Amino acid sequence: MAENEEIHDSQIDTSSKAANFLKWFNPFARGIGMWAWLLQRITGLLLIFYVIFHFGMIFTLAVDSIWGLDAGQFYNSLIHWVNSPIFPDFAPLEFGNIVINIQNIISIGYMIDIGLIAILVYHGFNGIRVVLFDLGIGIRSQKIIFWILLILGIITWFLALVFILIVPEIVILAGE
Amino acid sequence: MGIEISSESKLKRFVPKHQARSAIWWVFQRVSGFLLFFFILFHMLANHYLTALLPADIRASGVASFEAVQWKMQYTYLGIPLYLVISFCMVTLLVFHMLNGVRTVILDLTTNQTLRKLIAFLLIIIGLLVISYTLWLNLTVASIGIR
Repeated sequence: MAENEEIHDSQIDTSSKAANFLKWFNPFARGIGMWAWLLQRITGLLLIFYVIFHFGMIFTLAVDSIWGLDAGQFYNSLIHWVNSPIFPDFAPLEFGNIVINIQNIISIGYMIDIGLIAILVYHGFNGIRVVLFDLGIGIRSQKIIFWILLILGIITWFLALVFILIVPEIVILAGE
Repeated sequence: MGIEISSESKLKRFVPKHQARSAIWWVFQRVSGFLLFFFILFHMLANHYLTALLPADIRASGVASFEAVQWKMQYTYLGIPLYLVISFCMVTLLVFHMLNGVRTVILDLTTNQTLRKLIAFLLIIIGLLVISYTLWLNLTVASIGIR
């Protein structure tokens, strides 16, 4: 450790226990670094709940053979429901020759993916930030690194949403 | 900062006495997080978006349909069930990354060494059970219809 290393404010307990407890609920008492840490845990827990849901949902791949139905009957009806359009009357987007049938793509599954990718991207990008600090890179400029990675994350999220919106269409065009 | 601190106690802050072995899990969390980025990218593209990977007859029933999932699970390359192997690696990394994250939260909540060890043991059991479940599910789905 460097000799001139300072102790962070949070490592010195100066106030009473009650005051510290109340501080927990004051959003302005946290710096951006603590918000990043807290959001990392919250997104991590949300991802655990998603994975539990996901592992439970894919169990339906096997139930048909257990219940004596046709293979994949129950699972396919579930997938069909998840992928069925919410707004079937929307007009398709047209960019010259490329037609994007958003009315077929905007579904419950797409809505779930929007949220899921946002959470994944936050968790991943903040993970990069944590690894950088573990390697001793950029600890002094942690706040600006947070904002840079947040902006990069929002761009990544937006690109991913556009990508999953147009990729099925591109594949259909290439296949025909 | 008005508080003086000796260099000896400064060092002590960064070398926990009892958790020296936890360093391997700390490294694991970073490495698995990095690898999971690529695994999940592959997983989402292959299972939900990239229809082009599938043969034409399977593609007609949809990228996430039972037929497509089963085709991927039965897929072999040079005799290796490549998709199953990749899935198994991903699930193993994912489950232990998740449970190690839970452990990190629990380490912040208690300093009781016995409780910490008990919880770590329970988490490893849970992880092994979840991994066995996904492996069973993969093999079951791959074998449906073969009879």
